[in-house]
Amino acid sequence: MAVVIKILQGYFIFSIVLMIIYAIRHFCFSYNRLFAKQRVSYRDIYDSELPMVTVMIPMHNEEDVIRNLFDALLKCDYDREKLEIIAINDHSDDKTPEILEEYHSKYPFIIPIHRTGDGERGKPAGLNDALEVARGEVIIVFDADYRPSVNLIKKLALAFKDPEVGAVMGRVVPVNAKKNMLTVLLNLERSGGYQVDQQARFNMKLMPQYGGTVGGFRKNIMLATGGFDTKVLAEDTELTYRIYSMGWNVVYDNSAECYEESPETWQVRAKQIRRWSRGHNEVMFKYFFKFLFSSNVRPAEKLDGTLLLLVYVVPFILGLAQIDCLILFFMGKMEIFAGWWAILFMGIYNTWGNFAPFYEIGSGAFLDGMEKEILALPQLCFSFYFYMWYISLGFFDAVIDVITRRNVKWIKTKRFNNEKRVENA
Amino acid sequence: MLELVACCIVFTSITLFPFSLGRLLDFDEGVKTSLVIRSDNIKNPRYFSESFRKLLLDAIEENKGINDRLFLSKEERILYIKDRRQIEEVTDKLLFVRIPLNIDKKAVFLKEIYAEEKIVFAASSVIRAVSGKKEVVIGENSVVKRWADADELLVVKSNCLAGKSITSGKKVIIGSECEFLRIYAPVIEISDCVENSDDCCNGCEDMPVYKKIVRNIKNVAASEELRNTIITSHNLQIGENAIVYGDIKSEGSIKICKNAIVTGNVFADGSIIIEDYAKILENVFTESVLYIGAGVEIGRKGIIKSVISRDRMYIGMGSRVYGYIGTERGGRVMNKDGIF
Repeated sequence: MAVVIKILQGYFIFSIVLMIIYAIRHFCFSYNRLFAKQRVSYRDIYDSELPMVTVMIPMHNEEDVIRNLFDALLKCDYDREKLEIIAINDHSDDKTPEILEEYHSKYPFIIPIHRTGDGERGKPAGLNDALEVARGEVIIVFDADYRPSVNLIKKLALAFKDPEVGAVMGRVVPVNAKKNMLTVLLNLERSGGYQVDQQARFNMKLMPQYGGTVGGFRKNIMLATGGFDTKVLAEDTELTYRIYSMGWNVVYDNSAECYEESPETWQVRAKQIRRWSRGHNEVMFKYFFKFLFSSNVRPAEKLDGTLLLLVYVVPFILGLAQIDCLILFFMGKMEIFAGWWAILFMGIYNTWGNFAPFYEIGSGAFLDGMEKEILALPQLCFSFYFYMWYISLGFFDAVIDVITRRNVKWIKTKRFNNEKRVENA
Repeated sequence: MLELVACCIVFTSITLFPFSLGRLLDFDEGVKTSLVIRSDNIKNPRYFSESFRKLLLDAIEENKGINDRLFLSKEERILYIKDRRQIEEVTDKLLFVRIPLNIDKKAVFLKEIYAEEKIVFAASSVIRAVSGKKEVVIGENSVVKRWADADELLVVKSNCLAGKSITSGKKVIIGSECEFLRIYAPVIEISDCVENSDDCCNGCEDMPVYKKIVRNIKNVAASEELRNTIITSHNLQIGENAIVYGDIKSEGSIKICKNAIVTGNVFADGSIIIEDYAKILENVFTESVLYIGAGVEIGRKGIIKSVISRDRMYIGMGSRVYGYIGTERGGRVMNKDGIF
């Protein structure tokens, strides 16, 4: 029994130390974003010689939204001679194929790829098919419900003038931010995640993350390394670690903004966050040691990258720590730290320890001028436990994936048809 | 008992109060987003001048040239210049200049000027902003408060403060000891010679850029030819007369010695020093200070490239940039003796 108690107490101390490390990390990011000198990507560059760009749009049953994306892309200020759009129709059974053919007949640089039959499905497999025919040296990926602004492609493509840049990431902005409490909270999280977390990592020369959409990468990196791993759900995170392991880096452009649609129901968000957790943890298992011992990664990037790899394990560790804490409390074995120290540490990791903590979200909301939305900040403690549960489930999914080597199935996040919102915004 | 109940009520109220704040939010089924993206925004270095011209000409068209008052963003008085004697020592009206104009005495222009013909400002003038359809010449020791733009040649003579931006559709010549923030033109020449000289090619137009990467080197020896792109975490020196057929990226500083040539882009987190008569055929970008010596050429004729410093920039006489020069903390043209 004494051994069990020692293990429980040891785990408790471990979780506190881990949470303090994350708290310091998030505090540094927030401080950097609010007070330090900011880097601004390469958006100020004027250059009349831009690279050939292929825009890839993976899609499955997107008849409601795809016209709007095409129309937005047709308005963009990128040289048409250097632009190619590959629309990847992945087993759609609505009118998506007909719409693609209609646009292709009018605009030959919009090229449809129809994926049918029993082949591998999902975004990574579709992107691999498109990579085989893409002419662009830079690949930019958009989801079908996105609406890029006129100069977005140029902003993203300019980053590749820097020879060290392997990928570039823009910012996504929820278009349905005021629909309900969930979308308000997601908007706050997005603000913290992009405005603070990504920008601070870019400022501090750490590891901004390629997010899979509203971003681009060099085609030759993917081709040289065998394309996307179709067994990984988080192909974006996988690409980030692949890029850094090979000595390239990712830049973040906070001004390259694009609207996206946030999930509007908790069920849809639960599925999404569970899928993200599963995919991210698959990458964690694949890259943890490879990344840690890579000679191409600088120490600061290694530290940040390792903490980033673990972000979808932390809620599970924290959940266990809270159960551990309760057990120790009712066994009367909480005398790990004398007196109020234990309460203080519990406070620290409950408040700051987990997913996109309040430091960053508050700072992001401040920088974005979201005054009223700050009122929703306390509600994040509900989503905190919601995420803890579904991220933990995603972690178990990933563990089973690794053990059984089963094939993963890509499930598209449900759309809520906010096209009118995008139009009017 | 009453105290206990009161304590419970207070405790519950304090606990629940932060959550109740969320009730004050307005949810909206309609079209509101919290952040508005300017979807139609196109980056244009001559934006100030072009938007001013559009506003002015539209307002004049509406007004049919009858009144001396126009409504731009607010009501403005306008003076149509048909004779140079109309120019006063201090002018607080918009000027619409319809004749070639050579202003021989220093003057202060508190409002924008639009010139349909060549306009020459005397030394020590103060100009808020000028937009010219033909040539614009700004005399020595003048101050441009906001911007100056010309469709044809724009000359800023020595010792001027060049405002937020000076731009041209063809060429900018900027003289010694001028201070600037942004300059844009297909050809930017750093010179005290105001003649529109011939923009000859630099002879490097067809030199290739190799993308194969060599990492973490510290120098390229004098007169060496390297057919690689360089990515390094060290400070880097490109020796005299060396040629790098590729891009360069350094996490430290970069020094490009005299007469060296780089056929690709040069990016550094630290400062960049480009010594006299060196040539760089693509963009130059630094997060720190940029020193450009005398007779340096950046870019190629007919193609727009950029030279950007996130800190200060110093540029020597006889240098030439094809495209855009931008500095966040201000730039200065060195005097005639200011060579490395």
